[in-house]
Amino acid sequence: MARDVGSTYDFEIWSTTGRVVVTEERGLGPVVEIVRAGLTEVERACSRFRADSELSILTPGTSRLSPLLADLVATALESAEDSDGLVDPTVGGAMQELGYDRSIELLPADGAPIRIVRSVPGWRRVRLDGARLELPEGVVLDLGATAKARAADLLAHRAAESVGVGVLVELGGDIATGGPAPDGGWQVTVRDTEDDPACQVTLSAGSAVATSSTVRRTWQRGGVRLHHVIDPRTAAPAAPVWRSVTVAATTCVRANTATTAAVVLALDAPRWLSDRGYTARLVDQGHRVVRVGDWPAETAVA
Amino acid sequence: MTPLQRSRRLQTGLAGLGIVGALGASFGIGQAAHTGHGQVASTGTTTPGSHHRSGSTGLRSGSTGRTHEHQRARSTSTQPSSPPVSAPSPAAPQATTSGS
Repeated sequence: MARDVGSTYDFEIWSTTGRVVVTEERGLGPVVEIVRAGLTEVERACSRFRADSELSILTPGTSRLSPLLADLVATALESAEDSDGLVDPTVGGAMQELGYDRSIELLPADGAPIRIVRSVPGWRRVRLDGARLELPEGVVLDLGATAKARAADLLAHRAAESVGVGVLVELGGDIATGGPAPDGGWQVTVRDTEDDPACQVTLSAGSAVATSSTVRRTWQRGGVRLHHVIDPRTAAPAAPVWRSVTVAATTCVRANTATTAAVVLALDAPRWLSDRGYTARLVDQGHRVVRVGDWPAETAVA
Repeated sequence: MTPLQRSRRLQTGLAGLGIVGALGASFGIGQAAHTGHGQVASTGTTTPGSHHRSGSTGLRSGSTGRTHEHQRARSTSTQPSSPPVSAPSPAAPQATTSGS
């Protein structure tokens, strides 16, 4: 289902929601066309829930990737490098083992207890040389941590450049912007769930913001609640010290890489984010807010 | 990643979006393709409806013969000097960031 109101277009995508906002109403139609077409391409390239996606039919050994999938794999490997392996695209096998093997709304309410026997192969075992991918036996790629953010970055910039208006693309909470911002900047609400503290911030033109959560996209096995942010060091869901982590950065990929790494790092997250100069907001299990870097003081949503 | 690397990386990714590239062309905007040596070259517009894909994506091009982990200088802090977020204006929010 999609909804078009003035300069805003809402839609459903990948078991979540998306939104397109433009600074000039005349640009909404063509911008939406570009975004929807691009998302279809991304899904065909890297969905792990589509048997016919390019990612799903990859086999061990050497493959020649499409330019788009090569870009998405390159992005994932860059994120792994930038995060010192805390965000790792080779968690695909672990994700399957944990039971997250289909679209989240199709997962059973509960199932047999999970016994983690596999380790994460590690991103350094994957070789990408241009569009030539070498995938070792037993390595299953999951680009879920970065592909959505990369899609938001690419499509916000492409649409803004093509149509000549300011564009905000939000995909499941990952927000990228391109072109000029509205007067006063893009106004963004930061809130993971209805139970969480909310605030509003101004996002500058061309900037991005992303949130990772341990309370959304969850499922149960053996009565134990699991979430989808995997710690590559243990092949298990990261310790849920934080309900959510939000980072603003120059690109959505950078923001998303930092939020995912922060969730994995648990108690070490604030220092890691601060040491790297990130602007971040973390919400702990007591719903307390921790601000890092230049994150502004909490201001209620207008 | 430096701003220039980020810019090139973005142009490379945009070139990989074939359908989107074609749509962009229909609005009279040229595309940028990534060359084998990390340079960005304008390829001009394409015929509306056609699919353009560059022959190489990513910074780790085949022509260099190098693999992923050796190609990019590490950076411990790549944030811009001005923060990407600041205190809000009185205007209503246009979007929400949340986990998914």
